[in-house]
Amino acid sequence: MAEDRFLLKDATLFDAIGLRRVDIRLEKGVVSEMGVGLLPGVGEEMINCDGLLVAPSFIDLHTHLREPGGEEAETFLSGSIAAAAGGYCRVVAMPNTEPVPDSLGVIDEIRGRTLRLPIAIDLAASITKGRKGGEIVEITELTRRGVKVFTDDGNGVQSAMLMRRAFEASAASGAILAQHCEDESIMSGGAMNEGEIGERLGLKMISSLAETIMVARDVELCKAIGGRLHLQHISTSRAVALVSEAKGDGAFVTCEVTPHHLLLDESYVGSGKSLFKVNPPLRTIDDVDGLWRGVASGAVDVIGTDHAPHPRWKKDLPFESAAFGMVGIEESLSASFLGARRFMGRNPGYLPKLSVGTIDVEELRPPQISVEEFLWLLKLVELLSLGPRRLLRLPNDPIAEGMKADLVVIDPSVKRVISNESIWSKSKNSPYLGMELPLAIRHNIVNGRMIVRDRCVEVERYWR
Amino acid sequence: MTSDGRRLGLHTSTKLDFEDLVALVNRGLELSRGGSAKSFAGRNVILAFFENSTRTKVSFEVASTHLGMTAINFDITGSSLSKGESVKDTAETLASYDPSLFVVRSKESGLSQLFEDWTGIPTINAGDGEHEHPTQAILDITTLVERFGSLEALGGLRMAIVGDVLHSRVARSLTQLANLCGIEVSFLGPDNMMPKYIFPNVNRHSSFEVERYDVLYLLRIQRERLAHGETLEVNKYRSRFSLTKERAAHLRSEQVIMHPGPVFPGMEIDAPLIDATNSLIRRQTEISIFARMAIVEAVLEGSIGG
Repeated sequence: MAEDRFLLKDATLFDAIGLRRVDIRLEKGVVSEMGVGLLPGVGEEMINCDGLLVAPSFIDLHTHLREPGGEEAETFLSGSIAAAAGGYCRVVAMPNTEPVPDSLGVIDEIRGRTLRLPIAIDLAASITKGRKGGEIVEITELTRRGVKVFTDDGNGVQSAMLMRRAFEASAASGAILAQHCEDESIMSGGAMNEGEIGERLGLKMISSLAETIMVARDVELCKAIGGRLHLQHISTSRAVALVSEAKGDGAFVTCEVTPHHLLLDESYVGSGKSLFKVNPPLRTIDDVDGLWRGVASGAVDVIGTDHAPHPRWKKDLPFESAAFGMVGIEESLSASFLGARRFMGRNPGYLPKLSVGTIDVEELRPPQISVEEFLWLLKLVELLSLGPRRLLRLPNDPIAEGMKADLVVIDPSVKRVISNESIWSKSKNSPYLGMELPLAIRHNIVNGRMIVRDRCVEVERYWR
Repeated sequence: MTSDGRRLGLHTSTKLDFEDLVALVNRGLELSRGGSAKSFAGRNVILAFFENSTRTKVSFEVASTHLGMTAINFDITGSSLSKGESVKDTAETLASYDPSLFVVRSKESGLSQLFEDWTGIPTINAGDGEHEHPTQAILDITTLVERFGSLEALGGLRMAIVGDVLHSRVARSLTQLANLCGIEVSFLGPDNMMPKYIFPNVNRHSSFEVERYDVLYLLRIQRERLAHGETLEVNKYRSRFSLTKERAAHLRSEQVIMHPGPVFPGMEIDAPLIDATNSLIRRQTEISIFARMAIVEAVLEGSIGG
């Protein structure tokens, strides 16, 4: 088929080598040739990438696909379509499903449902059986059978003793322990960040200590025992500082931030809209800036979406009764980039540490954005695309001949308003509804197939 | 206000300005002195009470009846809002009966605003969770104006709000309006009942010296609202913060006692003081009808909203 052979012409490519201008030929699902001045072959579709940014497609370490058990909110099918729209080629599905993937039998059964989709779905297993916090799963055995990430996400593992055992297993097996950092004993059933806005609204509040206490505990466990700790969706300045310190000490600690914590602060909850209810809660603007400084410094390794679909009836409720969580995998780059712009507005001149190679950035900058914005954009692409590959130890970075053709094409010239109709996910609980977001995923090529073409997911073609 | 700037119902006292308050208080007092009420004959108000309340509901019912309206009680206390489909469906179903106004009370913060957002029908907050109770605050200020002569005369008064300020929606709304009037508010109560973040400029007094205040506003102690792990030692509370006969023995005649009700006699106040000459507690209940008539009029005419 003609569509299976592409020449990405005049691409501005960003990967682990840095930034460069190159033509990329794709056939049979792999990169077949890279160079300058390549000419289209017979039956090859030429994609003009002038002014567009190309990178390895994104990988999300933190997606709630809800299947099995929560199909009313999302399924592997609908969630993979949403992920494709967001520029992803692979997602790690969280285990807060029914049943919980906590044993080989369950995992094999659930895996069977994910295999024929156009993007890869990795199942995270739970750390404790049934996510009940009482007994550790067979981490070593499951790791041997291909599970890379273990998490009780939705909840943190409350018991330090259980985490100690989990770290011992992680040290032996290389398993990644992804922790939802929240000490429930100090959460008091809260619904939003503790502070002036929450108190004024009369809502039960969650102290930032709930996060930092568990981050500190797990960092200490990791340092003492070894193993790999990945801190999910950190939301406070203080957690960033703890991670930086741990990294300085040489601990194998990584962390993620979400696009919504990079863009939104607790003042959005002032509207009373439960679309802004999420766990961990939206924090103060100082925390938002703290996350950005962590992004800039390298303390933050990846952007994870925590895409959390809920049916309407779980969100059309007073704030305290509504479910925690928001969708956002389709807008992760756009929302993060808008967050970067706002951070730049508050902190002029603050730039990320970034390795772009030897190229002159100004020369390759898309005309619609400034050099500073371009640097931040590249940093975000690093966290969406390169960071997760390093963490999961996946190849395909840097892009080279013979590599799998997983490439996302980003259009910096577009703006779009998010609406119910624009969302591919089965659930519409997006905090960005009505907002105008910058940038768009123009194309997404996965395994050499253009599953998103001109901002439209090719559902009929690849999801049937 | 809606996003397009239209004024609808009343959800929080923070959206009221001094002029709004002057208008509401004056109109309420005018009505209390026999002024003729406007007529909204043929229009319906639905009282949607998701939390127990006798006084507030009856007060709104009487107020709207005086305005010629038909009050429809939709009483679903005890039903859980967590059964999600029912709440929004309920609002939309009730809206299809074409009421001119909703009055909503709930255990959860923010429901009156949601009713209005969902239905587009003006809604008055009759108390939402630990958030606000703006009509109570308006009737309290109206009661004070009647006693002290004018809104201007309230400026410089010292008001003690005593009890579980943190969990009190009445205290939040009242403090907001008292600040508008230039009343100097002090919060009194155990540390775990004091707000930590809001009203940073309000005094915190740790001992109840009644002679320091012109207005003693006592809150109901709601033991069920205490957060996880917190306890209330009744005797200790009474010895420090109750308006006991001993404490009240030296009240000056111009000092007043107020309480939003329902009173828990022997807890925050000794029973005989409820009807003492200094007490405005009964008058608050009487005035509530007229204050709420003024509020309903204003909302239906679109002259306030927040």
